[in-house]
Amino acid sequence: MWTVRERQTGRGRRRAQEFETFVAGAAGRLLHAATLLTAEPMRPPGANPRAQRLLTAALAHTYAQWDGLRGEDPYDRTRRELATRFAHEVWRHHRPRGGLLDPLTPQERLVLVLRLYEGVAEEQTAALLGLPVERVRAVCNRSVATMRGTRRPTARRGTPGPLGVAR
Amino acid sequence: MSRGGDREDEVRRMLDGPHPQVPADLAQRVAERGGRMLRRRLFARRLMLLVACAAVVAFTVWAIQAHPWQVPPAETTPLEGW
Repeated sequence: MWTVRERQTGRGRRRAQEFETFVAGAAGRLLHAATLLTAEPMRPPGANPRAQRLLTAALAHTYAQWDGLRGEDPYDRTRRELATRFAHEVWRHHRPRGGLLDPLTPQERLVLVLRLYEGVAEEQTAALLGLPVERVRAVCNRSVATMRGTRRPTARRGTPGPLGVAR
Repeated sequence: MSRGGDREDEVRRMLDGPHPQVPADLAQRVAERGGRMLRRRLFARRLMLLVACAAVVAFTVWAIQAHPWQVPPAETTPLEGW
């Protein structure tokens, strides 16, 4: 019993160290992605409470699964968890909050961030979001056009378009 | 296709703007929360194991007492003298 406990604390310490190294390396990029998703401003520090909450939850999930990753990349795992969590609480992120991707709908933001910021392949993005590949491509093209200003933002529930034009 | 690629690059550059600052206590907060999740999961697993063991013991005790594999004695007396 004693030895088991000893081994467990040893494993716990190693997990804590490995995890801390991982967070130190990955948190900046992941928080940036999360802040793009929630469309919150990047500055000043603490202006993105929703993104921080999202990232904390996703990272805690990775921490709890750390011993069972079996060679899977913890960054990939956390990104997947982040995307899934965001997709589940999309209804909370409809309102514009002053971020870069404000003109996009939450789904467009999710596809754009996964495809262009994170560089996830179309097929993987489609599998992750449970959408057909063609739809991912269409949403991505639409988002790119909106961000470049060559297309009007998709009309959203509850919020009129920028010029108050009804669709 | 390359035009599409150029457009995507343009948006990619937009996305690669200034990074938000990571809160200093993030790793600690995450480790606390993740540790809680782990402990809860461990507790649930132990509880399930305990319930399974209790079920096995209860079944064994009942089986030893009740001998469910034996044919119960006939309840009607056989007719004789026909």
